Amino acid sequence: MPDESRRFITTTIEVEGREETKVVELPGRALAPWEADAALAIVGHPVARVDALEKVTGAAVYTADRVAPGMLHAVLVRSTIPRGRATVDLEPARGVPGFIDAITFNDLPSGSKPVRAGGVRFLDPDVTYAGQPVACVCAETSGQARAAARAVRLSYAPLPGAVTAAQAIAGGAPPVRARGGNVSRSSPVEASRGDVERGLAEAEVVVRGRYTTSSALHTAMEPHGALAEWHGDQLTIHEGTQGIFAVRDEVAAAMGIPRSRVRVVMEHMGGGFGAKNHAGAHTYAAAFLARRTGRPVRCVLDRAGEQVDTGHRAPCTIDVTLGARRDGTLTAIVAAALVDQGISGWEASTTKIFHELYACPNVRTTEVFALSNTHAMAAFRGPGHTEGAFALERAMDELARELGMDPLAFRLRNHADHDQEKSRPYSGGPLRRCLEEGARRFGWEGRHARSEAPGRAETMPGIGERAGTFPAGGPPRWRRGFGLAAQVWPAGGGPPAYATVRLHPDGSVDVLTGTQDLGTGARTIMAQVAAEALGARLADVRVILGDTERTPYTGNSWGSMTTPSVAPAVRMAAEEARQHLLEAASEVLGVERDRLATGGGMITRRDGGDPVPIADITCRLGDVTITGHGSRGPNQPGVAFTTFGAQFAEVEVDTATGHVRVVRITAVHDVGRVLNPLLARSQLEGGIIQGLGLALFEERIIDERLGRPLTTGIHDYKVPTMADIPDIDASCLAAVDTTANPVGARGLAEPPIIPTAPAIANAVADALGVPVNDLPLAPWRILGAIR
Amino acid sequence: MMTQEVGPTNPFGTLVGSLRQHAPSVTRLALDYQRPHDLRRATELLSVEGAQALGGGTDLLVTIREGLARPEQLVDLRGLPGIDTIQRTAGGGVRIGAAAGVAALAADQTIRERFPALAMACDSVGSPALRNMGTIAGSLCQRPRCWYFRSGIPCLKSTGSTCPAVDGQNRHLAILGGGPCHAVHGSDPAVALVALDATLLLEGPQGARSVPIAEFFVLPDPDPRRENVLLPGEFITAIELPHDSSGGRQRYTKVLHRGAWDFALASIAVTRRLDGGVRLVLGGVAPMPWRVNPSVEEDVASAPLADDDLDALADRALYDARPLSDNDYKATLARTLLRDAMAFAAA
Ligand SMILES: Cc1cc2nc3c(=O)[nH]c(=O)nc-3n(C[C@H](O)[C@H](O)[C@H](O)COP(=O)(O)OP(=O)(O)OC[C@H]3O[C@@H](n4cnc5c(N)ncnc54)[C@H](O)[C@@H]3O)c2cc1C
Ligand code: SF4
Repeated sequence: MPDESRRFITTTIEVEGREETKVVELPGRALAPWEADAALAIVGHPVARVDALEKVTGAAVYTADRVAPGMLHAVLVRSTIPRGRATVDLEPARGVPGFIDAITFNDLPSGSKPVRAGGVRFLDPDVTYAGQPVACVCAETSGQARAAARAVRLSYAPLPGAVTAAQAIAGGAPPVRARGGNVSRSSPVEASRGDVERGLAEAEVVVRGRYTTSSALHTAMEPHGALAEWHGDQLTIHEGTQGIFAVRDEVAAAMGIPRSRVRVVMEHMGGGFGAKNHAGAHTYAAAFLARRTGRPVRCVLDRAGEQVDTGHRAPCTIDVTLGARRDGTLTAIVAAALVDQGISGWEASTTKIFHELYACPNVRTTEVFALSNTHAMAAFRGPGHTEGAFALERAMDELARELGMDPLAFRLRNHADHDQEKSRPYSGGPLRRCLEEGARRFGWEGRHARSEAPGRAETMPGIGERAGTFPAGGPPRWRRGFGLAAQVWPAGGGPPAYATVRLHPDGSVDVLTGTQDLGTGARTIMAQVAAEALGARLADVRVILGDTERTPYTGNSWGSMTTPSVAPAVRMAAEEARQHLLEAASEVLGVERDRLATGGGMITRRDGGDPVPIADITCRLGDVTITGHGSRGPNQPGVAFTTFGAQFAEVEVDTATGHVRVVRITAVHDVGRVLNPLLARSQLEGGIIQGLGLALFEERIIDERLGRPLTTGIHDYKVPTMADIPDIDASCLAAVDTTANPVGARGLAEPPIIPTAPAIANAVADALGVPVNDLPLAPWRILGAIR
Repeated sequence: MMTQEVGPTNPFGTLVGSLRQHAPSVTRLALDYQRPHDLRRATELLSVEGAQALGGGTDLLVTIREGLARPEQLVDLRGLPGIDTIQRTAGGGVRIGAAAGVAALAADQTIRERFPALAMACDSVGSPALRNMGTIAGSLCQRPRCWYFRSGIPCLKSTGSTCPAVDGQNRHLAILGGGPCHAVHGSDPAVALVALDATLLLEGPQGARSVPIAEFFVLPDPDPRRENVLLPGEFITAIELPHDSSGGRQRYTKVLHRGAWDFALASIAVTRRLDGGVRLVLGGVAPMPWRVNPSVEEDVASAPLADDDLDALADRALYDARPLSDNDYKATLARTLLRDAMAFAAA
């Protein structure tokens, strides 16, 4: 427990697998956690999204729906070469009807620190990837703005560059940028424990493999966009972002104005997945052009802009060596990864999971983060771990096969019952429970007996006819396979996060907190927690979030942090409000404070009197407002707040066409308390479907000579369709993590994507009897593998 | 003009240099929309330079937005009388209006019963939204889906003088009939219509004419900008299916990457006609629907087939296949489809 006498302490928070050290303020008082047997009326129940009706009726307003009076439309002009100097001639654009204004690098305020967006200088004419913005035009209508952008004349003095990690690290490779080498400063990043040489010497069976993952694009339904409006020296930005305060701070710095002059608002959002953590070129373009023109400016990316310039999952190549004794005990894990960051990015470790997932005394990993002339990586749901899990879990299956062991038994044999990397206990879990429960639900044991014979031909909706079976006597064409994979991910959340709860005279309740609802249901979760802690009715609670001016600070919605960071602050604020309410009720009713309680919107009494609606008390108080404040306290040191999960996949593979069909997936995760099972299932399903996309379809394609991306639309960049989605049995273990925080929940957003691709790939390898080590498992890859 | 620095290690080669200029000189905004109600007016409107026929717009509007098509006037043919009807002809065939919907064709009772290959092909197009909006003539006249062309990279189909795809990311390109452009034709219905010996009825400034569908599509050599024989101002008014092609055994099979909403990686339309003849037409592997060598069709029609025969015939059908670096899987798919289809036709 933190030292209660201190107001500020230094603590460590894990975000996306990275550790940050922060000085944080201790909350005034600690809350006792809701224990496993706590009788909760709203939390833990399958409450429908509070904004469901708004969303399904189309009433919910997204950034691209916002129209301000006199608003202009801005379109970014992008480089078509990956490296060199672009000369921008705006003249032809000026003649386009409706043209109002345009900016290039030269129009930005000089002297100040250059504005950076997407890892590069905003509108830098010295371009380092194709698709990099070099100008922005605005016009009266979006069509006119597009036409004006198209009319801008670009000429180039190209420079040599490198568009893949392999090109970038090849001997004699040209530099990908003006300063700094072609690998990150800290590369190679090495980490080890024990002695892998000894471990390999002890091994009786050793497997080696090379695994590659593709560059996946976030492909959120809603593209990036911002609407900027100046009122005097006050700037308001509407933006679908994962971090309103991050955007505020970055825009304030870029505009050279105090943070208090910038307001960022985010009401609804159509997905972020890590690509919307910062202000982007569109944000700065809107803000600068709005200042220049004196009119509101909206800049919303088109789909091509979205697919070529908003970040990606860094593609990587991972060489893995695993050693084990005959009895299945791991003796050595060695991995070397080459990660293609694009032109910039942070080091999302793909090898950390090799240190974490299984018990093994000897682990050594090396990781090189190469830079290339492609757009910068951005965190993408489970960054690093997802790629690493694919390599590790595929290699584990190969080793199990060599050992002649069942893949599940092999994993259980090497189960880690505490955090291997830092030698500390887990706050919950461990993984074993997910593996065992998942295996039971999936029917892993009797899987071969239970499955229907492969080779059934069938017609699927929308497809004229699926290629059938070979004529009798031909080779068996459809093969069935089963696979599993596991996941760990740090998702404990942490400070700072603040919330305020206030009661209106009519008994309605506002919850104010500066988090964002990316479509995850955060608004609903916070309403549930506040209603529960206050004893109010859910319907009386309104959650106001996503507004830097109205709501107290909380951080970005990333790293599976929102629920475990913000929900405790909301609970604390609501508890404080409840204390005040009870004190007021005691005065109003003339009943002793400790004979009163709240629940279901009522003040209940233990003095025999009838319950009184909360509204009766607040009404009597009138404009004397009951308010509670809450904040997120630090995490307990020396504990790993890890989430766990195991997924099992059944697939059919058509050996004649290379088509993979995922038949079903069973997922069992442990995230502590599930605050809302409906939303939890949505998160799990969403992660699994996105993981299935990574497994089978998703791949940014770049022409390596031109350096230009070719998957510029959602037709060529393939996300799963409804027809690809298997039966999904996704659930969370009944658990409560009282060590993690007072609501007992860890984060759940990223974990479900991590094991999906390796589980599917393991099933495909099982079906075919050959390894499949390169994602995505497209027909051409499958046909190549079995040739 | 600035100079390009090409070092020995420049991975972009010289192509970058040739693509330096990117900017159309003219920018047009005004786009006129007309919806004529009689054929004469439609012909008049379309004979104006810069006019283009509009069906459901699922391809045209996208190419306009992407800057790949720059019409000045859209002539929406959907207002013409009878343009979307599907009716039996006196000779026992079927006449399909040019603007008949892809979904409507897939659902039409006559088509399903008598020309099931077409119904199946229509049913396999894209997604429900595309099938509901898309017209049959628009499907035949859609531009190729090559990802270079579609992402605005200059090439033989647009403003360029070379094909950047053939030595680049050529996974989806043709294995048959390609060169100098190698993009495949995307239409599923077209493949079935070729197998059904359809005839296209055209209208244009020079009057009406009819063209057998096999002669409608053209290979990219010599003119890679065209995909068909339509003359300027000419448009499709109807498609006729002959009585002789109805019935028998018909099937359309499509291999896609995803479960839905994909163009064919490869597809095949097969018919075993009532007169005993066989048609085998491959899709997704060539710049136009690819009817296999008639001698192969004849052999399939004439004899019971053993497994070895299927292999030999598939080899013959793909004799001219010239896969590029990354698309030989299409030959495997075509072989699979051919074997299945031949067995189906011979059964
Ligand atoms: C995402 C996506 C996926 C797709 N998937 C498939 C698929 O799987 N299989 C498939 O077959 N197709 C697919 N398509 C193509 C789709 O079927 C066609 O876009 C559609 O059928 C075209 O019909 P339309 O009426 O919308 O044509 P429009 O977009 O209106 O026109 C397309 C072209 O045809 C011309 N045209 C239209 N009518 C006539 C006429 N009467 N005479 C002469 N020219 C005319 C237009 O001028 C234009 O050049 C897909 C398209 C998209 C966008
Ligand atoms: S294949 Fe054809 S459409 Fe594609 S880039 Fe080459 S010329 Fe252009």
